[in-house]
Amino acid sequence: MAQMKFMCDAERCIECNGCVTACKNANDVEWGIQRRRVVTLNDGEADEMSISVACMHCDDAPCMAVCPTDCFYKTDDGIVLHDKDLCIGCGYCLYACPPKTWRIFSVSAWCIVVTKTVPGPTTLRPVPTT
Amino acid sequence: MRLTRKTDTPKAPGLGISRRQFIQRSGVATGGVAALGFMGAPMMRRAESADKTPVLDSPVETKRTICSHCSVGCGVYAEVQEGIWTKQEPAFDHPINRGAHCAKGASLRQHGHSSRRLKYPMKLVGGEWERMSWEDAVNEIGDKLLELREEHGPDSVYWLGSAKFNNEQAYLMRKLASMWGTNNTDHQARICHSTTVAGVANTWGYGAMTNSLNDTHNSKAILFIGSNPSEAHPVAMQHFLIAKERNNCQIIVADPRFTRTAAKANKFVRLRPGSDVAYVWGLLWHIFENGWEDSEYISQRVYGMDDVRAEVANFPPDVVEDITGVSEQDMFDVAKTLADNRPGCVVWCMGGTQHTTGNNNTRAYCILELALGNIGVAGGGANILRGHDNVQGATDLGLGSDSLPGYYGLAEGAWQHWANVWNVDYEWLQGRFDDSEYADGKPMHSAGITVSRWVDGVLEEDENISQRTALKAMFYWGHAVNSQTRGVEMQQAMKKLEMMVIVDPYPTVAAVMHDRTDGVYLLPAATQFETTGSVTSTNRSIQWRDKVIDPLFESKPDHEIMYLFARKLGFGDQLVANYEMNGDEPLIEDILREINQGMWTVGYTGQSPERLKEHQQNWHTFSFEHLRAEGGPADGDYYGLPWPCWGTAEFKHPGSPNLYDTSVPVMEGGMGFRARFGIERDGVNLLAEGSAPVDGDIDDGYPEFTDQLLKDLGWWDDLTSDEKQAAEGKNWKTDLSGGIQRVAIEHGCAPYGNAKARAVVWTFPDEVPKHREPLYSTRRDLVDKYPTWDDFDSIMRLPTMYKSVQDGAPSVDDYPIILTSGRLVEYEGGGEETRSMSWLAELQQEMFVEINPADANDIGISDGDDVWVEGAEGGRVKVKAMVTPRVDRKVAFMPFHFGGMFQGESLEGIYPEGTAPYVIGEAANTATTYGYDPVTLMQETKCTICRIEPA
Repeated sequence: MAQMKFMCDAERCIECNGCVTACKNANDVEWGIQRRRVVTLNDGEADEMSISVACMHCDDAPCMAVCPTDCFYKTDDGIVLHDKDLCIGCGYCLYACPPKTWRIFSVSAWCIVVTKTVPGPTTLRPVPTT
Repeated sequence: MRLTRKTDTPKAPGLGISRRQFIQRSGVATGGVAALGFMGAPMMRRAESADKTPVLDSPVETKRTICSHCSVGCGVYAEVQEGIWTKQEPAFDHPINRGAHCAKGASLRQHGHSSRRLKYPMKLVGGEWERMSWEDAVNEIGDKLLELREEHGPDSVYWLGSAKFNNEQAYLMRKLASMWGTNNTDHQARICHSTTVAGVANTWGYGAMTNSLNDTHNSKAILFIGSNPSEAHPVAMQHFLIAKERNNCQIIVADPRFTRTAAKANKFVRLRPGSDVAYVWGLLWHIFENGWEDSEYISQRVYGMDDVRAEVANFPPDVVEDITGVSEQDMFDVAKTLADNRPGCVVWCMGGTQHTTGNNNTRAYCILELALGNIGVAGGGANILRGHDNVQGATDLGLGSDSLPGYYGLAEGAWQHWANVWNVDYEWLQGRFDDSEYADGKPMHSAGITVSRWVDGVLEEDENISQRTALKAMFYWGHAVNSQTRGVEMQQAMKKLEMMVIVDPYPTVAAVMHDRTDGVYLLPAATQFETTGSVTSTNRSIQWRDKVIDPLFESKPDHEIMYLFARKLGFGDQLVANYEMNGDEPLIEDILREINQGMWTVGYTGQSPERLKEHQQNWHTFSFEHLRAEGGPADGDYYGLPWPCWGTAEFKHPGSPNLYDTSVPVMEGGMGFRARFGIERDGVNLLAEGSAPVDGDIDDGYPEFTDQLLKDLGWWDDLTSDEKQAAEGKNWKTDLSGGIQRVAIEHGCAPYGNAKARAVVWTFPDEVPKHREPLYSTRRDLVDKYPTWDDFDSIMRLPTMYKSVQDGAPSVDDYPIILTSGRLVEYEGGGEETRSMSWLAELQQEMFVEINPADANDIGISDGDDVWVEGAEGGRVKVKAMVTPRVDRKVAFMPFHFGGMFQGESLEGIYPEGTAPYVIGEAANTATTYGYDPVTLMQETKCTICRIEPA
């Protein structure tokens, strides 16, 4: 099975938060937790740019490597998941995460939104501009 | 500009009821992995982990609906299990959104779950909310209405309707007010695009978006002026960015703020608020100077461009720079870009319309496009993005104070036409109205008070109002009062009313800001997901919505509530004379059939319920590029039969994707400009010259079709004998058989004629649009040069001030900063719905004001500080400072979606228990000021003055 990845085309991202809300809708994510978040650089300035960020589901995920309780696991689709029952909250994964998504998402960043390849630019849906 | 809190602490316990909790609480069995029926392209799929994601294993019913959060019209698949809306999928096969959603669209399912809904009828008694039955509520309110009618006449009651109604409900609301005997009815178009409708319709015929979002794929340049689709119409950006990627379309954003749309632009031009006409004239100065105008197009299809030329001559680069703040080089660059990249379109929204000079602005944009020859071509057009999901439809269906459905007006002929369609006697209708004569004429034939001015309609002295008395009772039927200016006076007006009736799925700000202890009723209305009907998106496509779930709690659909009141008030039988009834609920399809019977002017006649449902069931057959069905049951139709869809449904007109396009035959959606303003003026021909829709039997201009014109042309005998009988003495607008339209179109002619657009509107205060300084301007030197109008004694029943306000404005030293307002992507309108949806509310928790860093330093405030923003008329709001270069020096911006705080005080405790939105905040409009367009009474929200101080 192919490795599933998120891709966000920053040329099209307008920071509409559609992805954030769709994730909350599909997964009943509670108030205060966002597994996906849109980050805007240079907000309000000429080179403003936004991008949607969440767990990148790394091929060789460092969070899995450093976890003392082995609470991470990978599905056949290549999705990195996290078993909250095993997690002891040590925070090693936060330091290991290359894009530092854990820093952004604080707790339990397991993300189970799955994308598929669509005609045209391959990007995460739903966003309004793809 | 985001002020999302940095902590992840939930605001209050129990926020955001999850689907899991909802199912548990509603007592429906859970467990097991559902065999979820995914749509063609599943987007959101659950992990295979039954214990983490319990779902119902009952059968899934899939409904097709349309997002209700803006006018783009995105398709949604709603999955329902045992009556509960358990899942939503964006429609990947929908021709407008192709599977895309913004935050508001992605949150739709929460409408079916929000615990903050109004749950049952209530009234305020001694400051406490008391629950009551529907029957008691309708009886009590109805008795009071009848008492007011007896004492003060029918015009003492105001029926404020909504752009959130579907088409059938909007139409029924206008009919309800008409049969009650008043023109005091209106909806949000008044404070959204009324200046567009008036300005654009008076330029070329129809006041609507000319092309479609999909058609912008053909554009080579797009000028956004007063429009920020990245936040207000995010899915529209998909189409604009496709144009940018495919055609190297030049995106130009002219705006006082560096918006999120500007972040995607090739060129951003920062305008001084309120200087739009000068800006457009500045562009035209370069266009005329360099001969970039389309002379052939102008000579064939435009009247009065020479008068514009004379006015534009007064706006050379140095004058324009002084007024707008834009340099000569920037003006030249944009003008050249527009000239070199044709076809191009202009896109505008509230930034252009919500001004005292709104009608001048909209006409100036039109004239720019006419000069470039961009109207009536694919990739061109005036792409006016409407606001609410059905604000176009509600406008078309006459839910306004100045016209009956279909823009027929209020003259006797219009009333006779609709009395005929409604199957009631004209004399009976006439008897329902106050027959006295006032300054504006008889109330039946004079435009009613507008929603923008209901506050003055309550507070003004009786002798100054062009009706018997001031307003005594208000219905707020799907309306956010915090989207209206002058909040402080609004509270006084609410206090003075004898009765307030709020009909809405949520309590709204009107339920809490009135400072009353009695005489307020709350009636729970169902959302558009709890009923069925049609909705007109911004591009004039009419889309059908399935009913997703039954009305929640004790709420009822709006059309049922309308019937209940009509019956109580004594005209229930007349209201529903043509409809089959399901209990107290009129059949929606029958209302649409009646609409089809009467709406000849704008071509809402071919869109039968059967055709609309066929389109809805076959989304996938319509092209994402041009909206036309390729094969399938609706082969050849344009999606949603964008109006005008001439003739009867049987005539099978495919709808008109691009207005005024003469390159396609009328039967394929082509047409010239409408012959609406006569045949000639001062000896100059107003009809088109040497230009007509292709394949027509007349290849020159022609007037609108009447029985006489058919006879003169020798086409009368093309009518059947039945049609002849119906058409005798009628015209294309009043012939209920549709015969005149059919014959005209079969000869390749547009029923409404073929004329020139007019750059000069001789019926408006400024025949050629003029730059006029805002009533509250920080440039007093320009006020002397470009003053506003003199005060008017009466516009739509009320005295309306201009010069006296401008002359009396407080010193710029006291109020040195221009205040403007706009939208955030997470919220819609007054925000009561969207702030009651936890997924959205979580993303925007604080009301704020954007201030330029230099101003913040001058005032002595930092990012995140509490500040007071005080408007020039004394209204004050306490908000967070957002220090950002997004706004210019001496310009501040506030979003207008917040409510529930009033001048520093929280009103949260006044909401009925459990109905306060998750997020409350100061309403920007508490600080906004007086100012109305003289043609439509559009409110000024985009340009006033304020002072900002640390709190």
